[in-house]
Amino acid sequence: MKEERIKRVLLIVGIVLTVSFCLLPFIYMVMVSFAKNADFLSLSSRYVFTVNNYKEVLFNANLHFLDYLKNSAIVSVVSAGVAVLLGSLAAFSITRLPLPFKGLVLFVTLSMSMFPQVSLVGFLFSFMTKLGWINTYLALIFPYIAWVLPLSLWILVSYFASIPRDIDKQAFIDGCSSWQILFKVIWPLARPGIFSTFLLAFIFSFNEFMFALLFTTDHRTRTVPVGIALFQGLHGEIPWGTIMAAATVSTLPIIVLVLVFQRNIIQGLTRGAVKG
Amino acid sequence: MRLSLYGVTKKFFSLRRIITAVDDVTFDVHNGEFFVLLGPSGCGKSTILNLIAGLEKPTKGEIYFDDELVASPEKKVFLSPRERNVAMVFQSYALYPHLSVFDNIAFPLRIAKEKEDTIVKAINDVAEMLGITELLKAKPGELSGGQRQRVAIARAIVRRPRIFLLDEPLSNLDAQLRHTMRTELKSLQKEIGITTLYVTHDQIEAMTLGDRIAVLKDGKVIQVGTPEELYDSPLNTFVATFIGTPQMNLFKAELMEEDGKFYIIFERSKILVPSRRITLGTFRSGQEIIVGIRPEDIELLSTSEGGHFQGKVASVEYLGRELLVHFTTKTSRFNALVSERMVKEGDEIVARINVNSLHLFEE
Repeated sequence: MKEERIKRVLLIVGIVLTVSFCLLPFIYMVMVSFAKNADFLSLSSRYVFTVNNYKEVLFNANLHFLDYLKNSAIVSVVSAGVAVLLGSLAAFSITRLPLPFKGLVLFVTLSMSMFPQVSLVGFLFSFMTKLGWINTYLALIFPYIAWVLPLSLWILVSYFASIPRDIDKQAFIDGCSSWQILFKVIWPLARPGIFSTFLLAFIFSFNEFMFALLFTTDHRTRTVPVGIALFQGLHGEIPWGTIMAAATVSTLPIIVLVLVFQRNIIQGLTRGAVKG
Repeated sequence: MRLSLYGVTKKFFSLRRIITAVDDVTFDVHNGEFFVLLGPSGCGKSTILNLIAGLEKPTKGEIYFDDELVASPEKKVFLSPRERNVAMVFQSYALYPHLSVFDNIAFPLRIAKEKEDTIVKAINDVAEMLGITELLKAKPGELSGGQRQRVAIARAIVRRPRIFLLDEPLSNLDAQLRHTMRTELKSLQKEIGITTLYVTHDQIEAMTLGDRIAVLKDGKVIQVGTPEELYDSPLNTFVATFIGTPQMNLFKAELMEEDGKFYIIFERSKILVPSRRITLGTFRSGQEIIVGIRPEDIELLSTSEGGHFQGKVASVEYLGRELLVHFTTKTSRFNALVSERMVKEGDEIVARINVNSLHLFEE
C-alpha cells in the first residue's frame, strides 16, 4: 500500500517535471507576450500585464504580421495537400501494383530527403532566379512538396500496406476502377494516416525557415518564421514583446488543428511507428 | 450461366523461379449448378477462382461464360470483373469497415449507378432473405463472424451476378456455425438458382454442398464427379484418401488370375475380387497393386470365426455411435469403423472385408 503511494507520487513528480521542462519555453513566450517590459525577470522591474503587444501584432499594418500568416497558411496548405495527394497515389501503386524494385524506389526516395538543406539552397536560388519565381508562392511550394513527399510516402505506404488486399480485390469485383478503389475504399480506410501525414507536412512547411528566408523578399510572400525573425530590424531595440506575441499567435493554427484531429493523429502516429 | 474452362494454365514468374499454379485445367460448370473445387492448400484452387473472377489473367487457355469468351491470351481477350458481372465472397469476408452494413451491400449497386430506390428495395429483399434486416445500420466491426458472413453473401447476391464465387467462405467460423451456414448456403443457392463455384480444402464441406466436385492437386484436375462417384469410384489413391473420413485404408497386394477369376493375395490370404471391380482398370495377373478399403467396409470378428486376415487392436477411439478401431497386421495398419463395443486394445481379431467395396489402384 505504502509502496503504491510512493510510486504514485514519484510518477506525478516525474510527469510534472517533464511537462514543465517541455513547456517552459512556451510559458515564457506567453508571459513575455503579455508583459509590458520584457525584462520582468530582473530584480529592478515588475511584471505588468498588457495586451498591447497583441494589438501591435494584429493591427499595426506596418508589421505585416497578418500578411505573413496568410502567406504561411497558403503555402503550407497547398504543399501539404499536394504532397498527400501525390504521396497517396505513389503509395497506392507501390503497395498495390506488381512493380519491380519497389523497395529500391522507397529507399531512394528516403535517401533524397537526407540531403542537408544547405547543400541544395544555392542551386535552388539560382534556379528560382532564372525562372523568375523569387518572391512568389511557387518558389516555396515546389521545394516544400519535394521536401515532405518522402516522409508522406513512407507514412502512407505503411498505412496502405496494412489494409488487406482482399478489400481491394473485393472492390475490383464490385465493379470499381483503380481510381474508385483509391478514393472510395483506400482513402476512407487510411483516413488517420492521411490526416497525420497532412499535419506533419503542414507543420513542416509552416516552420520552414531557410528556403523562406532566401526565396522571399517582402511581405507579399514572406512566411511567419522569417517575418518574426526580421521584426528585429524594424526598431533600434529588439521588440521581444511583439516577437513573442506573434510567435504565440502563429502557434495557434497548429494547436487548433492538432486538437481537432487529435484522435486521428495519435492513432496515426503510433500505427505508423509500429509498422515502420 | 454455363461456365467452361479449356486448357487454362496460370504461371507466376518470380525472379528465382516459375511457378505453375494452374496446369492445363479443363472443366464445365452447368447452369445453376453448385460446383466445388476441392484440394489441399496450394493446389491452385483459389487461383482458378481468381482467373474466373478476372482478378488474374491466364497464361494460356480459354474461359467462357455461356458462349461469351471472357479470357484468352491467344485471342487477346480479357474482360474485367466489372464486365463479367461476377460476385465473390472471400474467406476474410472483405467487408468495407468504414461503411455500414447497408452501405456495404449497396456498394456494388452504387458503383453500377443504380437508382437509389431500386437499391433500397433490393437490399431490403436480400436482407430479409438472409435474416440481417436488424443489422443494416451496424458497422462490420460490431458483427459476429456468422453475421459478417451473411452480409458478405448478401452483398454478393444483391447484384444478381452471372456466377457466384466463394473462396473458403466458412473456414473462419466455428464448427457449429459452419454446419448451419452450410445448410443455409445450399438452400439459398437452390432458391436463387445461381451458378456457384465454391473453393474449399474441407472434403466434408465439398461432399455436403457440391452437386459436382473437381478434385485438384498441384494445379491439375484429378477427377470430376458427383460426391457419390468420387466416394464410390475414386480414380487414384489421392482421391481415395482425400475423400471420406476416416481415411480409406490402403495396402499393397498382388493380383492373381485363376480360372478367369481375379484374386488378391495379401499376407497369405486369397481374397476373391468381384469382376465388376476389376473392369475399371487395366490389370494383369501377377501385378503388384494398391488395394483400398474404407473403414466402414471392414468387419472385426473374434479369432474363432473365419475372416480374411488376422490382426491386433492397437487403439480404439469412441466416436459416439461407432468405434474407430486401429489395428495392425503383419505388414500394415488398418482403421475399421464398427458399431459393436466389444473390441478392446490388445485384442486379437480377424478382419473380414466387404469385397464388393474393394478399390484397386495401379501403383
